[in-house]
Amino acid sequence: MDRRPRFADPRRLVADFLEAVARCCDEKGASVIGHLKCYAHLPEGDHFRCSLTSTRAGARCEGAAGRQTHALELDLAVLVYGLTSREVGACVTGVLENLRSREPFDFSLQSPSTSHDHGDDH
Amino acid sequence: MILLVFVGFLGSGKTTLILDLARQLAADGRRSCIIVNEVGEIGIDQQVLAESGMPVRELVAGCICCQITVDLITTLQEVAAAFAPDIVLVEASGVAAPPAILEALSYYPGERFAAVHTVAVVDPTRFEALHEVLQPLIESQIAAADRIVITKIDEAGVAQVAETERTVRRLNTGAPVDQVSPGHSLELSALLPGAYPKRGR
Repeated sequence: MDRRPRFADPRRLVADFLEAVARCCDEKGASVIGHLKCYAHLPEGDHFRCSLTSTRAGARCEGAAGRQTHALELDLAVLVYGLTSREVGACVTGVLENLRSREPFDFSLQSPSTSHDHGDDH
Repeated sequence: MILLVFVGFLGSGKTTLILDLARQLAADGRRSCIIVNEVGEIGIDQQVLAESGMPVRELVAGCICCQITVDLITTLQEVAAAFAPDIVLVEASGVAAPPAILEALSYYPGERFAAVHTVAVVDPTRFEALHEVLQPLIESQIAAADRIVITKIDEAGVAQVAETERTVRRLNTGAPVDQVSPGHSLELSALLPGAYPKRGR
């Protein structure tokens, strides 16, 4: 019997994840929520994408993955103004920890966010 | 080679619009490719745009208007040599200022572009708020456009769309303004009237 944890609704889980990260960024004082977006790869070969531009409107997901799965690989971009990469990273980690209380899972972060001071170039 | 350069703030709908146009180009058998620039370390849009089946080249971890302009030029050279495309769709990062991109393109050493059209993509659901806090960037994107596309009209209120259109027309009096939503796409014949005949002709 496969005892690995199962995500019953991966799209809902990822949408909740993005929305919670956006709320966290808001609460930490982000001046502008630019764009939170991710591309999710499933071991079954499916993939879907989710996008969020405001906490009010919430996340929108498109693509496959209507079925449950035991793993998700997410490419995630959190593009916000007014927070350091460390603060954004803390939001991502904190939200993942919270979601684990709903559906137990393991996670690892492979590439932390970095700051991009584009505004200084203009 | 015609260049269509799409500018617009983060999350304004550039990728969705380009994906739709790329599908039109693919359906019509046009030789085309996409160059996408993202400010993040990891490219998301490239994976989305690859769904069109069109060749996609990705420029990440910097902005093509200021930090990686050389990469834009070398990538254009590379796609010209590899695909000889009729049309190249360039998605600028959401924080790119168009004048700097257009200046960078003037250094392209290859055959002269048949045309360079700048399309500004505007999200009416956030336009007013973003215009207030990021005025120079937002206005620069709109003012430089040859065409302005207001997206997400299905999500915005009628008054929001109307107010957005009023403001963008004030900021750029010469550019045509289109409105699009998932059920109401923009046709290439509108974007490139001289180079792309209307469907069904």
